[in-house]
Amino acid sequence: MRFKFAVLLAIAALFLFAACTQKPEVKEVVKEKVVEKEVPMNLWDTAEKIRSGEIDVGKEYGMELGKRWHNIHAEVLGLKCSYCHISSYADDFLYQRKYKLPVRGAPGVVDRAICTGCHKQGGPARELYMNAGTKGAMNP
Amino acid sequence: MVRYGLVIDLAKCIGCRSCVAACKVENMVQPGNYWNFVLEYEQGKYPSVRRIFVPMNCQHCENPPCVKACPAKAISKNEYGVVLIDYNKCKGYRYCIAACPYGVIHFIDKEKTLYPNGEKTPYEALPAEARHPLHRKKPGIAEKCTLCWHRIEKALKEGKKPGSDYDSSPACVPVCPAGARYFGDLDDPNSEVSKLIASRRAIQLKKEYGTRPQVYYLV
Repeated sequence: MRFKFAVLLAIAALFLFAACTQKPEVKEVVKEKVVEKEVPMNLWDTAEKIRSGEIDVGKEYGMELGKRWHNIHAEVLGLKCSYCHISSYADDFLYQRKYKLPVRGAPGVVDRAICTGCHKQGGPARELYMNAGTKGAMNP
Repeated sequence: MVRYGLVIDLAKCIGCRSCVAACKVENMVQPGNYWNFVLEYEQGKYPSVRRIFVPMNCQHCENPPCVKACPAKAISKNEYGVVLIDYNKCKGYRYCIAACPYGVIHFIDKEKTLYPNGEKTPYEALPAEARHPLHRKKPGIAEKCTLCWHRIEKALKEGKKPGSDYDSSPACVPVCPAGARYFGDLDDPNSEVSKLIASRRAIQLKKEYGTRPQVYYLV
């Protein structure tokens, strides 16, 4: 009886050891090669150049690659894809469209704390969020 | 001034999605898109856990980022505080979708029908001219909750107080079996919504962004 118990205990310890040493699987979210670009230091200057047309970001509005949105944020400012397209949301993140997939393999859009860096009141870019801080939003 | 808004009691919400279904039917929202949706998550650790249901629709912000973001100037806030999209002006740029911190604006990429074979239901088959302008949706535009403006507008024309009866309230409000949803004028201190906000702990979602939502949650 004691022998059987010892064997069972040894098997359980083995399973526990195996579970602890196993590395978690990390899924690759964005497969395209991200081109590293030097981010312009003077955002105010850059924003003004975009507004005046000195920096050409195209005239076609839209979210698709090659249109103004990505031209400004990805091409001119050099933001990486993963900056906005995150792999998953926290369960309690209150964003209604989080079940939708805007881009294959990149479920969502980040908390707006990323955007408020420039799009806050008095910021270099168009003001979208009034008196906004750069701290993430709280849930109830 | 009148400023219509919603108060949702999270302690009462049982996550039944009656509001979601009522909204879908009332506004002929096509499959895949939701003007109203219930997010749910768990709070605490076993054995002290509870499920939280958060119904989410357009927050009709006082300072709406979607209005500022739209290059076509297709989104506006009317004199009653309701944020509406003009489908004739919308060019489908989707800047509003990216700017909204609540994720409540949806894009209609193509026409979808409720019947799986592509056949239209009698409601879907209604010609555009037979619909309210806010229900004249088409592929390539953005859509979102209108706070059932067609009902509020009708009530105002008939001289009724919006929210006073079934037909003059947003469709999601009277159908709630738990009575968790309230609609009314936030600027009227004697309205039920104002009293609830004043007497209970009422919060606005993600108010850190300065959007000043007109939907309050009682927690």
